Amino acid sequence: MQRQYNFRQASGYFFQRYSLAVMTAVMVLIFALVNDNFLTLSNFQNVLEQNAALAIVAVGVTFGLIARVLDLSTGSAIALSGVVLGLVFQATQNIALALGAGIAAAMLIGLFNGTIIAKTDINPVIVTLAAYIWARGLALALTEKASIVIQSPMVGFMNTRFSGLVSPPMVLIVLAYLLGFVLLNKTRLGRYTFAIGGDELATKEAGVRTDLYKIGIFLTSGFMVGIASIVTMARMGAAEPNAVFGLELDAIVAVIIGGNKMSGGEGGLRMTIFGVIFLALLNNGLSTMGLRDAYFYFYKGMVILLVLFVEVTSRRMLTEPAPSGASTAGAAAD
Amino acid sequence: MAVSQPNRQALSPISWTESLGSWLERGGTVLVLLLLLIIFSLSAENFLKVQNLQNILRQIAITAIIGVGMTLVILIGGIDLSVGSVVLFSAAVMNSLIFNQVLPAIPAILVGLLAAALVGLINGWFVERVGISPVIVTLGTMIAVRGLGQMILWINNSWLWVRDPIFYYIKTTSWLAIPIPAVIMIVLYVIASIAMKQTVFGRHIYGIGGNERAARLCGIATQREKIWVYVICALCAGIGGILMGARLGAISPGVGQGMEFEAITAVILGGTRLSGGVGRVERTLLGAIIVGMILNYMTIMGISAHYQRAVTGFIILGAALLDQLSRTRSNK
Repeated sequence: MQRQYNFRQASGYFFQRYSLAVMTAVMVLIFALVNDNFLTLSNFQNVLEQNAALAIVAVGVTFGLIARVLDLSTGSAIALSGVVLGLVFQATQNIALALGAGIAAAMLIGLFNGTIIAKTDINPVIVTLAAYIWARGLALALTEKASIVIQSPMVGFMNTRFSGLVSPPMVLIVLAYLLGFVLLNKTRLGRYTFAIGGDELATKEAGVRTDLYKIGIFLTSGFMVGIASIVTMARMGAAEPNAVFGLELDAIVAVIIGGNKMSGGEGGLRMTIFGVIFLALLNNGLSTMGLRDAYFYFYKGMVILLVLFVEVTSRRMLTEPAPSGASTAGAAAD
Repeated sequence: MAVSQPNRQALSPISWTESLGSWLERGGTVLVLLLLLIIFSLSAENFLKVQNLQNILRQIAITAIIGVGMTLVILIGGIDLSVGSVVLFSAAVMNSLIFNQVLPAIPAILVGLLAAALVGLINGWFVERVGISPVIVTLGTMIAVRGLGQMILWINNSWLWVRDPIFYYIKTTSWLAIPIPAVIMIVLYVIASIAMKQTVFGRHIYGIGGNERAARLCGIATQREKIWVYVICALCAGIGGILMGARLGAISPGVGQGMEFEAITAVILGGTRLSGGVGRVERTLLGAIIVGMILNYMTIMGISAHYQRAVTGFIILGAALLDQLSRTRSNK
């Protein structure tokens, strides 16, 4: 499609495509100047291992956002399935069984949420907000707020860097994204995920069982949550009911920063990858600067708002011919 | 309210689920509340004592006050996740001004409210003028404003005592057996519910939430009014900050965490729809009272805080399902 761009639109086009890359580069540069250890191999390995759960969960969240179902429950679901994993391990001392139980628990939570959302008209935000609360409550109640130590060779295995380079969590990230790519781009589930996000009613009227595919989306997301809970457990060597507090919000932020839209129907995992990289580097860079919590939160929030501002403004420069006060009413909250 | 009851007469045969639904829609929340009140007072003898009821009122006051602003934001189709952080921020601002003897109590409290309103203005500006989804904007300010609040605490040795007699008065005094925080809550709800029905601004909010484009074409300055709604919501959180300081006697970095979800729960339980345009402010108060009563009852019965949390989650689901049932009628 040949189009004539004026300067404003051309620069909007440039910023829209590369703003995140430019901002990531600037951020890396700043962190590298402040902190000598930032640009080292071991730090990048740390970034990947620290943020493995976030990266893996973001795959499921991407599916959700494309289909316009915002999932607020992922962090609590990780905690609850981790606790199930820990309790099964405590009872049987069988790590394979425990890992299976953890994944099954996560997928069950997904099935529960997905079924309610697919079979009723209740807003997904309400359903997953409820799960955000009850899943965390159950996780804390089942363990009396104590963590369950997992003494298994599997924990050691997960924390080994093979030939000093690659550790199992990194491999799991890659596998999660490969699986996500295949599901999203090569299967009916993926195609209908886009269709549901674009126009759910039309998709339904075209004869697609949208309810089943919605449940499928939540099962996919649940599976990712299960893997993330294993990664989280292995990193701490324990099942921790208080683990990954706030991860659900980080995952949503990462997916959006990458360029996916709240309004659904479009987007993809490639964007999510860039969003996750940005947020992971931001988290790591800020935390290695030895800041107090207060400054950490302040800078993190400000950077997120700044990035969104640049992205949205450049998107508008591209789509709107001239500056005007016209409203681009934000996508609805749900 | 006209908006939530589309021509009832035009619908003919009524099945029992539909009639149950319409019945629930009209008086459901009140009836659920009365039902719970009866069950609880019969099964726990201390429940209906004046002191316990006062406790419930104290516990729900802050959530309910934030619920006023949250209802308005949800009515215009938005959401505000930053209110919990605003509670911390405004409490930190006013109490550090008082603690360091920069300002006397009343002006300091006003500055605290102003700081809260400023956060609301930023939220509204980003949502309306820049055009970013409210979930994401308020998530960003939720993180950043919590950081700001904690910075103020950190400057004051990471902990602030609430010393002024005004706060002590708020905490300990009751008027006609109603604790002051609850008095403030009731006054705010009376003002808000009258304003929503009687003022142009209130009617505009329903108009914007129902159909924003139509509202704009009717000549309503939708953007400006929506920004005002975010400011009002943050102001409610600022008032929550005053009461929170009074209640706790000290401000610590975790103050207000999770408050946003408590307020949203009250709004949802009150039957306001997240899609905007439909709902009533007064009902949010009922929602907050229901949650407060259930939590209080569980505490009396000795159920651990963690199970209480789990139950709260399922209450939200149950309320949403009931609401769904009531909608089967109005959708047909």
